[in-house]
Amino acid sequence: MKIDKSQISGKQFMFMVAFFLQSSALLTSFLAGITKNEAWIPVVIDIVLCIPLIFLYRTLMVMFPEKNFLQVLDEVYGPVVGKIIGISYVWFFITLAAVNLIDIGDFAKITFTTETPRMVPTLICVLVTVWAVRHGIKVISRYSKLFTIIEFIIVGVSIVLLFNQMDFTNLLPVFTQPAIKYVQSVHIIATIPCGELVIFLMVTPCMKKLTPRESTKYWFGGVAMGMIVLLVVLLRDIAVLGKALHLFTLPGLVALRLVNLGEALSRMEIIFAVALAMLLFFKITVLCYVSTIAVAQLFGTTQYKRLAVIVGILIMAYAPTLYPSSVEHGISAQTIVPFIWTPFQILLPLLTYILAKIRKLPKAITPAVKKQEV
Amino acid sequence: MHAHLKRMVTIFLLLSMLIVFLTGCWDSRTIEDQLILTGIALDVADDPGKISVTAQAANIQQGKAGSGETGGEGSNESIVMKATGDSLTACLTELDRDSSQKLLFHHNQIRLFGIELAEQGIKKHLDLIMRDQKARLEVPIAIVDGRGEEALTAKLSEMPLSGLFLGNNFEAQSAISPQYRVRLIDFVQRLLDGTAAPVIPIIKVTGEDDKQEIKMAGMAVFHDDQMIGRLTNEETVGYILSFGNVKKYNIVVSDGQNQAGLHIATLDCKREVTLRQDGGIQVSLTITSVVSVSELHGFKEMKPPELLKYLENLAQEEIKNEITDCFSVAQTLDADIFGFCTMVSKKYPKQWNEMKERWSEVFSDIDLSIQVKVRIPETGQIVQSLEMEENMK
Repeated sequence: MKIDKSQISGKQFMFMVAFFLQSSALLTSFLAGITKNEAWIPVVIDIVLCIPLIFLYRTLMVMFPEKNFLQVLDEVYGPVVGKIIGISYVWFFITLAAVNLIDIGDFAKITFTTETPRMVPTLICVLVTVWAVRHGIKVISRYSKLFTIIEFIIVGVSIVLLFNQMDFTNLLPVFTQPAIKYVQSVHIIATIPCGELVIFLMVTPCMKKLTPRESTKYWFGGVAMGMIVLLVVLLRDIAVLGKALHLFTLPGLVALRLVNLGEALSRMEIIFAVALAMLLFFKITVLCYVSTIAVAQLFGTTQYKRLAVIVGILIMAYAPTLYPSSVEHGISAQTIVPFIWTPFQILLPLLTYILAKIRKLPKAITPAVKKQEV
Repeated sequence: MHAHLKRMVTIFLLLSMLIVFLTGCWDSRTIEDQLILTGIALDVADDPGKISVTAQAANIQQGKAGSGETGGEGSNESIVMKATGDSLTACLTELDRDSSQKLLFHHNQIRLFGIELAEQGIKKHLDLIMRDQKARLEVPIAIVDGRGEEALTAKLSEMPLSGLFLGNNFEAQSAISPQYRVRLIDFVQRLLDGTAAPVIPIIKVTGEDDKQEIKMAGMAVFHDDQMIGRLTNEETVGYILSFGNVKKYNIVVSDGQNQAGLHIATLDCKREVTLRQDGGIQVSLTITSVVSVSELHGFKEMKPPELLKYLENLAQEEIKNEITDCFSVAQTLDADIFGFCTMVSKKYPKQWNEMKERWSEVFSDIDLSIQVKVRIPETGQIVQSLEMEENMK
């Protein structure tokens, strides 16, 4: 059963992955809170450590090219256990979308529309998201390349504007904190931006046929673009804010406020606002799409367009119940969330892969796939 | 036809929704309802434990101001309001309550602290300023030699809004050296450093009645958030030069009756710290500067080539002396205003852990070596002075 009939190319997929990762680059305060001005070190470590994880996702995609992840679970674990795990994944996708919806609401509330009820920006976001989801993955992915390029330009321009205020000695000293802090940070990055890429296993059936080599290229190309932006943004913020980095809820916003290149080029936080709104909107759209497809898969229907509205409303109603305040949201992102996400992002995909190998799945291999090396 | 109609209805409904959502009426502010803040000063209040806040705002509706006394040369160009309370929040609430307009913080140009408050400590008064999204971290801060409110009520002939004057003045000074314009974020970074002593410019209001002036009066030296001493304007020069990145600054060098005004086009300083065998610190400052001659008096006996060499030596000595004098003052105050401790902590993190507890002792024993290389490639429109010309006849 193919729920969304539209198809995307490998390149579009790559830019979706890149943009999805970039969206975490602007909300780095939970990282800075742990390793402070050494927050760039865990990112560098994670760039290396995430290679096996991304390879695992890529392999699952290559092994089951016609199936989304919920279908894979059904096949590997059987219909009953597969459905139970599938339900938990639906919860995971919807929660992820809701958490990001909170972020966009918080951002609007504490920065530019302080007196406007939080409901207004989130409602607008959900409306546009649902509209996009109803048009399928092709429409969503079409913007990813443009958005990724705009994000690269925004990061590049912000570096040029802030260059006169950067002090790269702020990156020093290194490894002065207890080892557990680095472990915690590495775990956070592995789960919060990197591990979230597991959601892309839901779009597998919409991909045009790729060889394993192409899959590797597009997965790692996207991850490289995303992680480089994450690292560069973090380095920029540390170089500008130094030891004060961890004090701020949105370090990128504060850094861009410090731009001072004459009267005309000062206080450029609007750049951050544009970038954050664009990135979070895209992320929520992808998550809403994935949640909708997952719900459709669970109920065995292909009418996902009608479900999109319901899922959108569900995400919107669910979001305010998650955290009583942004402080608890931040603390949870630092302490609890990485542990809750780990089974969904690392353990279950790994177990699925191992079981699939043991059970020699997929059994019904099409001749085209048969030739491919996994 | 049916599909077309459906599409038209959808577009119409969407546009109607956009009207509701995109107007952003909750956060709308009309300029008539705003008091555009140009400066804010915090002082110790007469009641013990309380602070006094003075806010200066631009009067955009001249003659239709809210409450408060007006400053400026009878033109009502500024509105100055005062409030006293336990905290900044209490004071700002009082200011808002007593005014028909809302204070708009976005365009604030300067934050001032009276010297008495600075001596008591200013950390606790920074929280609101850092927390509030409307307040900006890039706004410069300064200490007023006297009460902070004096600077905001000063009637300057140059500019009616003293807040604006100070903002522009610090911006102009920062073109000479970034150290002259201390932003709130710079102060906070130094505070978080723990051991390094923050430094903030001091200003002083001089003159009487309608002929007042605001002058730079050195730098306030802090230990943590409390002011513990000051550098004079002359001592400040050494502080500025020791950080490098100095442009378009004038110095005067003299030798007996001979005197020369020199214009520093650029001055860079490479700072290096190394550990000494005895556990102390060696600091090396390598300064390179390009200077031009702006004025010459005397030097009658000299010919232009030897004069330039001589002036280079004099400039090198002068720069070295300025920094050495400033360093001695800092040692006397036991305040590492140069941030040498930060350099040590970055370069030798392990040794720093052991050293930071006794930094005061280490700082007083620092071995400072200064190498200065000055180059004078030009002498302006004339080479030798008229006095030299007379001697050559």
